[in-house]
Amino acid sequence: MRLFETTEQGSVEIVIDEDIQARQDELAGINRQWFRDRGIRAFDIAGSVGAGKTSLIAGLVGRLSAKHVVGVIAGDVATTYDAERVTGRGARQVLQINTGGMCHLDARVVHQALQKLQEGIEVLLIENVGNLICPAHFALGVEARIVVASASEGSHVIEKHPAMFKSADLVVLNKTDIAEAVKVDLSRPIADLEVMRPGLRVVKTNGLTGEGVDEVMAALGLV
Amino acid sequence: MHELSIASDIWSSVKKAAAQHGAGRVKSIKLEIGALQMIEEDQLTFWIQALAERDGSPAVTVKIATPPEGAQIRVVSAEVEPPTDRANSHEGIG
Repeated sequence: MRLFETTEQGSVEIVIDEDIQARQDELAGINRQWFRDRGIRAFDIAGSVGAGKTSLIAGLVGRLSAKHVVGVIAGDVATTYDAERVTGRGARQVLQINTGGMCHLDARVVHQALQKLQEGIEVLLIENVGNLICPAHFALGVEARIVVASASEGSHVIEKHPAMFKSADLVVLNKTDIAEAVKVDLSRPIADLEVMRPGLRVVKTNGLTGEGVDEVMAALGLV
Repeated sequence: MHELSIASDIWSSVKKAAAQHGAGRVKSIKLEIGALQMIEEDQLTFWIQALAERDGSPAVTVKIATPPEGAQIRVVSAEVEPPTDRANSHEGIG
């Protein structure tokens, strides 16, 4: 860091030259190593409020718990409803993060939560705060980010939220059963994704019945 | 609202640099924010100013340049009141 005298008012300019995004990525890297050291496979499940993140997690926990020790971190601005919904599905531990107004999880708050994680967890599902914009730039250090969108979010949901879908490793299109009722043609978001992210895996699900959850597991290599 | 988190990181960076140099009040901050970040500049400025005011630096000016490419959020520099101990300040003056 260097200092420069300024010509007016005797102020001093401090050259800082710090990349804030790089710091976020560095923190995500610490989490990535933390998971690697413990052999934990961690996944970030993100998407809008009401898209079906918790239903997907509940479905995954129910299926995975037979073979794996599963933990869940549920991030919400307030309340513990989501944590309560997945408790009892077979998860070893459900940790709640109340972000207190923060619209996304970041690597730092996840790292703090990890200090409370029980030993022996093999698969960790992290539910991000319901938001299709803000989490895009905050990597958590996980193996994959699953972005859940639902039919009720409209035909143009992909185009409207480019940053989020560019950050996805897998996209889940949920509520396929109501697409016709809300007059949404699901071929549109699928075509938009193919333009934005050629080859990216998309799985259609119905969170109420569990249809498609096995495919999500297969796509994540969790069978 | 992710502007608050980013503002908080930016302000921490500036505050740390100012403290390292024994500087007084922060007057202005220069940032570079890539167009791909989709950050609302007015909101970001508001939160940086709010955090700065809380820490005794009211009315900070935030200057944001937007490079056409890249997704970085870079704290370029900060204009501060001179260090109280001028002897220390000369270390590393460029």
